[in-house]
This record gives sequence, structure tokens and C-alpha cells, in this order.
Amino acid sequence: MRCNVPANWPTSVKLQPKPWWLVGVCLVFCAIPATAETSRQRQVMPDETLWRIATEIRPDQSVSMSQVMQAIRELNPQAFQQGDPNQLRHGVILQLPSREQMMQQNQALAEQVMADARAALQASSFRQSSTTTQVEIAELPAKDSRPAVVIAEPEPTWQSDAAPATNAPQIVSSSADNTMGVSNHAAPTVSVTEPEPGFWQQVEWFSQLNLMPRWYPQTGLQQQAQWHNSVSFELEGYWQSDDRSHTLVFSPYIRWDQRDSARHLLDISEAYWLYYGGDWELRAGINKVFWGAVESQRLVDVINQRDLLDRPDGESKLGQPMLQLSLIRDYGTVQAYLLPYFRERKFAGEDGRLRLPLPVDTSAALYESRHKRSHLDWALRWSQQFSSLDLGLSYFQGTAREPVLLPTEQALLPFYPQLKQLGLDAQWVLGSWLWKTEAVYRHTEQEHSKALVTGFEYTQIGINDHFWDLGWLLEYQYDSRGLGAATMAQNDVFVGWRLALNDAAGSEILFGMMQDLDRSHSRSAYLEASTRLGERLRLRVDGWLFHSRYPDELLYWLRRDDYIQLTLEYYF
Amino acid sequence: MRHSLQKLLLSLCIGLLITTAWADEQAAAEEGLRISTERKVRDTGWGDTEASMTMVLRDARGRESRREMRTLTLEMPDDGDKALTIFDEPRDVRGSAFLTHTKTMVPDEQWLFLPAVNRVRRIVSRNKSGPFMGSEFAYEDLSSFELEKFRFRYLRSEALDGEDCYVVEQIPQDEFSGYSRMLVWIDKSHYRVQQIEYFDRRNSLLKTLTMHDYQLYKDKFWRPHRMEMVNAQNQKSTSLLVNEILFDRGLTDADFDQNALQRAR
Repeated sequence: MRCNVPANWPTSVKLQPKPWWLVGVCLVFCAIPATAETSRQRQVMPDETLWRIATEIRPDQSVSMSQVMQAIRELNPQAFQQGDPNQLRHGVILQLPSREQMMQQNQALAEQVMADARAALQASSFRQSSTTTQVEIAELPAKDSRPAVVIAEPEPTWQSDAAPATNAPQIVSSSADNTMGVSNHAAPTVSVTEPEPGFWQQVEWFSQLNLMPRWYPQTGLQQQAQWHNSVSFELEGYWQSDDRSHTLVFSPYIRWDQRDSARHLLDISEAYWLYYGGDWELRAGINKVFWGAVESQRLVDVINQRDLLDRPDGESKLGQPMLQLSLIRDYGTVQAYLLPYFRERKFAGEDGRLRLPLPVDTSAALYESRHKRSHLDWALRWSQQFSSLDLGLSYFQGTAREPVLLPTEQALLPFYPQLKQLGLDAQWVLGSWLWKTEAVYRHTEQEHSKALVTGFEYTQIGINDHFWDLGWLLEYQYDSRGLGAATMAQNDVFVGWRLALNDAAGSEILFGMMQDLDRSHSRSAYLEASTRLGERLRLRVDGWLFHSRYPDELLYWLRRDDYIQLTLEYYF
Repeated sequence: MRHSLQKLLLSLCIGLLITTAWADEQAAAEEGLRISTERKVRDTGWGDTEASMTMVLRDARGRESRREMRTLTLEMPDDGDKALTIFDEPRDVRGSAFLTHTKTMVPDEQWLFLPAVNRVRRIVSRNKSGPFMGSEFAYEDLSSFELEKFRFRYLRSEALDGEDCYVVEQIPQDEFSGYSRMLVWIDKSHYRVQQIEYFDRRNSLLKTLTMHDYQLYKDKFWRPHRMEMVNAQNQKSTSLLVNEILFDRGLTDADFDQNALQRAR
């Protein structure tokens, strides 16, 4: 049901007046770069070097070149690949330091950094000249008899086909106007191709920290607390080969919860190798797969276990080990999945909220298959785009991701049957209308069932002078398992509104309501809103309301668990 | 009798005037189409490109925010071009990717990839007048120029920043376009767009786009490296800086399907 741009990993943190939490928030805020400051700026032209720019802006002799360059680097860490002063990216806009900022640079340290950079440059040129025959003695610049080496710009990493992105500098044959004299370097101007960079230098790392205070207006049915705070952290390492045929992704995730130890999670959300061969792809490792079309439920999407402790709507998932082969052909894309290991569902602990009155004993899960978690599941999917229609057909066979909960005296035992599921998903665009359908046929030893969600999203573009877009969502949900089943959507209607403000902060609001058509006192509603605060922070607000008077349905046990959660996402 | 002769003469004069006006209008339309066709022809055959771009958004008070993105483009000889844009900044949308199949006769097809949920979302294609990433550029301003999407009318010739230009009026044929018309300044030397004025549906000036730092690629194709869009109604502006364009990257249709969208990052 989530469709905001990067909905990401919510978690929560508590908001009780504990000083450590405030300190954390302050730290996060302090770390935001002062983007509003309007200092002097300047774009880096394709033939420019750090040295040349520094020459241009150096105010007077009392400031050393090293101090100027170091000050530029400090103000513009993003402008240098791998922080290497030799690798100024062209096209970037540099914030230019003031004289005070230059003077603040420690002279000796700045000298040292720049000397190291020069040494690296020379070392690499030496390495090149001694191991390859690519060195050419170029003509000396006519006007300048001094030897010349340019601290040169490499290509940006992403377009590294012809010239691999590298941390080793490129020494180019320089013309007189971009010459940088290096007094202690006596070699003539050289032209050298770059060496292959190390793998680790090519890996890009990204991190995300979420602080998530969550507040329940009422205490739980078993007196659970109202404030539940959590923190999560996700790291992502990303590498792609120069020809883009190989990709490696590694993304661990950790979550800590203040009240409920069952919500602690250490997971690998992604860790895979992807090979792309033109009309086929192979993925091996841990990954998340999304199938589907509709907004209010996930019917066909069956590959990954859901992380319901993160979000009750099941939009969060746990990483699934898999081998996936995709064939991209004229008749569509065919994907085959082998899923060798099963991830069990996690349930809230005794102190947690959003749970049934009896705890679920996850240590004693039961399986239909004698192979238990090691049962080899598999799946197939065919998808094709016919101009305005996107169509998908899928089949899954293996351990059901959703357990049947078997009551015992003290606890509920999760039982994972073997499931065969046939699924269909379709989206059809018609002007401002987006029609969506998902349908499944499920078969287990215990039962056969069918389920359907179908509806539309109608978007009004530019409803006011601020270009807001308003989407109207209406979906009907049907499940043949009927009342009392694990699903809350046996004969229900979903109505929702999605408002996109189209502002610089990318603000969005989504509100949705589900009403049972058989039972007037069975409904739920949610709100999701988010906006960007500065370049590295995003604030989200999520809320849920649950209402039911019927003890035989799941919703009844959530009736005191209405909540509102703030999520502060910090990207670095 | 005399009266009716006068009447006849008068109607003849009016008829002549109308005919002349109509002929002028025809000539202006033909000249407008000729200029625009030449503009399109001169930018045909570039194959595929890969560009890295920075957008700087400024609000009315001058506060800035930035977008970093990469765009892959594939020229389609018989249809609109295909484009895949991958966002690097702001960080909360890093890895999101936007795929457009521009169509000449039917609505464009668009998809958005959301990396957090590994989901490709289809977008209703009439969202062309909406702001692109909160900037002053609308989606339609960034899509490929196709002759079939407009009616043209040559207005006049005039110098713009020392360049001798044709001024051509362009009237969008798509009912979902955000504009009633555009005035396009095309230089006579290379048929490059130098400036565009966009008029909203109420026919008042909405935005002005100016192109700067044109550079020649493959001895044939001119590309601006800086584009400035200034909104005349809300005083916001957006600079689109092209950091780099590479041609002949060997891109194919396979780099512009939903699988490519998921591989992008």
C-alpha cells in the first residue's frame, strides 16, 4: 500500500524526555550541512584543476596555496572522487572559501595533504612508466620551460566505460595555460593511461539512520506501554563493473526497539551478485522481490517474508536467499526463482503492541515439509508490457510465508504449510485513470482459496496554482476464506487519497480507509506523510486507526493499538 | 444598381483581404514547420547519449536546493525517444529511476522505480505538466522534441544576444499539455533553440527558458550545457547544468525496459 518515493525502512525511537535521545537528535541536526549559506560559488569547467582554481581565488601571499586548496576541499568534499585532491569532478559547483576559512587551515597539515597528493601522483606516474610502455615524452610547453604535471580530473565514476573511474590520478600532457608547476619534480610532461583501480575504491557506500518514536494513545490490552521508540541503521555497499555487466550489492540492516526485544532485528536485506548479459540476468544472493499492482494489499507478492513488526501493512520485507534467472525476450520477461532457505515470520513479544492476546511461540514453529526451513521453494513469473497494459502471471510453490497460528494453552504456534499459488497482476493506463487488478488462487493441504483486489487510481493533475496532484483510489477486496480468516479483507472496500505537493521538498500525503462490507463496525485507516528537511533528512509521519467489535477477527485485537509514528531519516 | 455595385466591390475587397490573410497564415505555418523540421533534422542521427546533470532549484527568496542525476537517452528513428533518469541526490531519492518512452501519436509511457521497495510503478502519462522533481521544469519540457506534437507558426526574425534568430510559435496538440503556446527562438546559423517562452492555459507568460554554453559533439550535434528556467509568475528559477555528455555508449532498447529500470541505481 505504500507508494511514496523511497518509502524505506521505518523503525521507531521513543520520545520520552530522556536526555540521550535529545542529544542524538541534536547531533543529527548539527551534521546537516549549512546549505542555506550563500557564499561565493563557481562551477568547475572541464579543463580545470584544483590548483588552477586555487590560483584564481587565492586572496594574497599571506595565504598559502595549500591552505587555499585544503579550504576548498573542506568545503566541497563531494567535489572530489574518493576525497582525492587530484580528482576534482568537473561540472560540480564549488563553494569558494573566504579568506578567514583559508587562514583557519593548519599550514603544516595542508602542506602535508597536498604533498601526499603530489607524491601519489608522481608515484603513479612512476609506476606507469616503469611497468608499461605508455609513457610518451611530450613536447614541452613552449612558453614555460618548467616541467609540468597537471593534477587532472578523472571521469565521474558512473560513466566509466571508456576510462575506468580511478583513484589513481591521470597525468595528461598539459598545455601552457593549465600548467601547474611542481618545483621538486623534474620529469618532463608525460601522458599516461590510468592503472586499474582497486575494487574497494570503486565500492560506493551509503548509510541511513532512522529515529522512530511511536506513540499509542491507549495502553495495550495487556497494559503495554504507550511510547515505543526504535532506531534502525542500514548500510549499502554498491559496486558495478565498468561495462555494467556485473553488480554487487551488500546491505545489512539493524533495528533496536526500546520495549520489545522481539522487534530487535539484524538482517541482510540485500547481498547479491547480478550478472547482466544483454537479454538475460542472473542474480545470486539475498534480495527483495516485488510483484504486484494494487495499492491496498499484497496478494501476488509472495517471494519475501514480511516484516510486520516494522509496518503492520506488510510493506517491509526480510531479505530472501535466492537464485534468480531472468530471460528478457520479445514475448516478455520470464523469471525463474530458486529459494533455498525459508525466513520465518516474526511476531511481537510480550511487551510489544499490535499482537494477539496470546504470544506466538516462534521458537517452536511447525512445518508441513520435513525439510522445514531448508525446503527448496521455487517460483516462475512471466510479465509483458503491451503499450498501455502491464501484465504479469506468476506461480509459486513452497513453504507459505504466512503461517497458520495454532492455539495451545500458553501460546500460539506458527504452522507453515506447503503452498501452491497462481497469481495474476495487471495495470492498465487510460488517460488519468490507472486500473489495477491482482488475483490469486491458493492451494494447501488444508484449503483452496481465491482472492481478488481490483480498482483504480484517478489522478487530478495540478489542482491548484501550486501544481498539486490529487489521486483518488478505490479498490475492492475479496477473499474466499471469508470472515474470521487471517485476512482482514474478505469483502472490503478501500478508499484513499494521495496528494503530491510537487514542491522542492517532495512532500506527499497518502490517506487510506478500509471498510468491511459485511460488518459495519470493522474498519481501519492509515495516514502516511513525508517531506524533505534539507538535503539529508526526511521526516515521515505514519498513523493507523483500528476499529472492530468482532472478537473472531484479527482487527479486534488491535483495537487499542492505534498509533502515530514519526520517522526521522538521516542519509549520509 | 449603383448601390449593389458598391456592395459587390466591398465584398470583393473583404474577400481578397481574407484570402490574403489566409495565404499569409498558410505561409507562416509552412515556414514555421520548415524551420522546426530543419531543427529536428539537424538533431537527428545522434544515436544514444549518457549525461550527468545537476539541477539547482531556487525559490523566490533565493534559497537553493540541488538535484544530481544521470540520464541515458536512446534515439528512436520512427517514434519518440526513450530516456532513463537515475537520481543520485537528494539522498532520500537516491537510486530512484524514471523511465519514459516518448510517443509521437499516443500518450507517453512512464514508469518510476522505487528502490526501497524494489517496485516499478506505472505513472499516468498525462502527468506531463507537473513539475519535475519540484523544479521549474515540467516533465514535458524535458521530453524529446517531436514535430507531431505541435502546430507551428513563423512569426518574425530578430536578434537575440547577437544571434540572428527565427521566432516560431509552437502550439501543443496534446490536450494535457500545461501550455497554450510557446515562443521558440531558433538561431539561423545552426537551428539551435536559444530561448523558449511558455504561456500558460490562460495565455499569460509562465516561464522563460534560455540555453547557454552550446558545445558541438561528433561535428554535428549541438548541446547546451546550461539551461536556465525562470518562472515569471512565482519568481522561482531552476538551473539545469549538464556536467558531461557522452555519445555512442552502445545503448539499446534493452537499456530502457522495466528490467533496466530495476538494474539502474
